[in-house]
Amino acid sequence: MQASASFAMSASATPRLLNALRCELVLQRNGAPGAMALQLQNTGSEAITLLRRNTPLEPMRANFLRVSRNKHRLQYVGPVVKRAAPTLEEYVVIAPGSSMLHEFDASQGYDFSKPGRYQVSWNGELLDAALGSAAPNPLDPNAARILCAPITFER
Amino acid sequence: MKQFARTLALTSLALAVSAAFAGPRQTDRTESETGRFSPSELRASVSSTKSLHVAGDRVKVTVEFSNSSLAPAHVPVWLLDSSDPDRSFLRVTRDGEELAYMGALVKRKAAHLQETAEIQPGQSISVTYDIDRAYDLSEGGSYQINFVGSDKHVIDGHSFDSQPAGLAVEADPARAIMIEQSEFQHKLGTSSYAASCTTSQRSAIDTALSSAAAYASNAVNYLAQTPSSARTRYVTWFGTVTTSRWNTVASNFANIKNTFDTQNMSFDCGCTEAGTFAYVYPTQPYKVYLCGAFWSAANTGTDSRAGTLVHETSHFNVVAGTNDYAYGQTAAKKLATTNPKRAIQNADSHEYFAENTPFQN
Repeated sequence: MQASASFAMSASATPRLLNALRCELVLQRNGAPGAMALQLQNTGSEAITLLRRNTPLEPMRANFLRVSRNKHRLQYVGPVVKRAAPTLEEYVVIAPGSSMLHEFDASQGYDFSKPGRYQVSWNGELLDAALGSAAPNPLDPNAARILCAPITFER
Repeated sequence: MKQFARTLALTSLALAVSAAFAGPRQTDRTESETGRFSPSELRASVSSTKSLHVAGDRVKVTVEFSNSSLAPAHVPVWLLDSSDPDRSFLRVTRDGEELAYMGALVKRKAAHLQETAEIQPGQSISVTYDIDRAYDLSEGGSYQINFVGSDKHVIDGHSFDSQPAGLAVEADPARAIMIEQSEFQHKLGTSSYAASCTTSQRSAIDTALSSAAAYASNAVNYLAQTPSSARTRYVTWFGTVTTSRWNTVASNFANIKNTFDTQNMSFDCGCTEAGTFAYVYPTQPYKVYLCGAFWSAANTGTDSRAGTLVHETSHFNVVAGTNDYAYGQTAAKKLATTNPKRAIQNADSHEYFAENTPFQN
């Protein structure tokens, strides 16, 4: 049953792209090594509701950043967590035209202690995201993806 | 009775021989073998004295080993000793499905260092083994049991798969409990616990680990079979079948099984978050932090304790280095259909495949 259903489904290999969300990583110049912020701006005409889980919008609990020092990729040294289905409190709504800036500490997952030229990028993957005003259904998530500008800096 | 006496005589003889030739035996045997044309061969035939086992009955089978070659067969004493807990040489199936082996996994010395008994050409020897502590027969029904041949059972020779013998067992949930309480449940790997784990938590972890090892073993056996798009269990959790992806999953589960069977896993019970099952640092094997949702989960089944241990173990970089690309059964199924390449790197996909709840072929 399940097998035939899976073959019948027309599915794309990558989650849908949320073009309306403009995304940028911002360095916190005076912060600790790894202190940065995620800036999200909803340039569309509909509200965007997204799950914060495994994104920079919550404390680091998954390997969602790509960090390199002098072009060598750094290993993720943070935790990975198995959690129950999300609750509605784990979602954030970004109204049309509005933006948010969320500070986070990437050193929870990667070692920024050595000097060098760092590049940090976020894969932009959202475990669940919805357009419009309807409440999300955590039990039937719709993965999505946003393009996010990386940052490069010297430490 | 007659068979029993012969077994004893053979075994004690073998022990005496091994002791006497402890040092030079190997050399002696090599010399005596130079004239042989063929290695020794052991045939096995399985039978059950009782065709129906009602609740409470111990379930046993008798294996008759016979030497079908012209040379004496040297058989390790442990194989002929029914008090040795190893039953991995018996395969049990029900409705064509192989049951997970839950008995002892015994690490043996090299074959030439083992104590052996000699079976002369044409001679045979029967041993009766209980199988109800190594296989979960609690569901009841018709079971088929056969001996699995290997070159481990005859020094410098081979043994062969036997024909299956059938027997019926009445459903009895107590059988599952007997297995859980068995001191021989396979756990060659050891566990250590942080002070935050209470006595009852430690015992729950032990139970979950045994079930997790059985899950891993079942997954390894499944994945040893030929890749096929008709295998709905695989397709549901890992998507369209390719040989390469199938093999990756097989290798992941081999590593997971090996971790449960041989590694020292450590557990911390200090995390109390109710919505969190567990977490690990993939760079820090084999420490698992257990949280609130772990303790409210069932031992087996969907999102169970045993499944969670499979999930967490798959995260370690030295094991399978999986990530959390999708959480929950719905999202994991979606991932399998939309992105199989990701599914084979997703921890929950491994967990749900291992739990196989509801059952799929």
